[in-house]
Amino acid sequence: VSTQSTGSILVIFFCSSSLPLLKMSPTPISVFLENLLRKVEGLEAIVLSDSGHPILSVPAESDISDSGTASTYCMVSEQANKLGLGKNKSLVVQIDQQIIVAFNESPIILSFIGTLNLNVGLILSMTDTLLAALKPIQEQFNQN
Amino acid sequence: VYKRQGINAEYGAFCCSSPFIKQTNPKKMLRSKLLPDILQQSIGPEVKCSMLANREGKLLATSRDDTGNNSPTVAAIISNLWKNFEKAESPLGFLMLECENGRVVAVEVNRLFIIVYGGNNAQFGLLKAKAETLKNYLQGPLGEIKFLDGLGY
Repeated sequence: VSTQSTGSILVIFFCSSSLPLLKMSPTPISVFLENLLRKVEGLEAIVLSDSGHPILSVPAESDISDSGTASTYCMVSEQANKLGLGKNKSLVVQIDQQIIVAFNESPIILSFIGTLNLNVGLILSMTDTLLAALKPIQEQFNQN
Repeated sequence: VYKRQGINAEYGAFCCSSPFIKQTNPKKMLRSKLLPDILQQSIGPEVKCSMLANREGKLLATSRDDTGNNSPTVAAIISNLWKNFEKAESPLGFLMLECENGRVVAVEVNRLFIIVYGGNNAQFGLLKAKAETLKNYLQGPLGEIKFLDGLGY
């Protein structure tokens, strides 16, 4: 909306009430992941990786690693797409005493690392939400 | 001890003449023709196919209803994925993959893989339970055969 009076132009922007909440009150990805860490039973750490290299780890001071799963997953995700079942979305693997759930938005991998009591079903039920959250990050990395 | 044997008349079972299968008990052999029937028991509305594959990605048996178009590819890829994820001191317990059009679960039994896959409506819990049941059932018979890696068996 713009108005014109005495030679000046006053431009007033109205924010539409239909704008997504994310734009109105942006939530950093790390806060989102920290909330998840508190709510999911058995979850010990969450790692966001780019081409296998960790870029964000929650909690930040954690020394829990995913045993190289993210880097391996990045390497083999193309093979998983050739199973004849469409594009691979996620992977769950038990390595020794850890369960790792990884979501694939190549080159971005989001890994959830937990104990054998990890509530895998709860994490997998959020697949679509998590992949949608990774999309902007993936596009940003692809641009760079 | 590697032996060449013909038909074992006492048990009526055909003994493989391959020198590459070590027989811990010469009178016991795997009745491989029963494997498709055993794997078939895991097939249901949600489960499309079950298969048994070796670490080289070669199929040993598939469920009877399997059309065979995709199974060799799935077996080869899953065995490769498994070997990639496996670490020397940290063995894998299971592997589950979710794709756009289906889900796959793989478990290991005596150096072989049991792979169960279904469509989008297949639940991971059910696929894993079926794979584990097949594993527990086949653990005994398969445990009596020593597979030699790298020889295609």
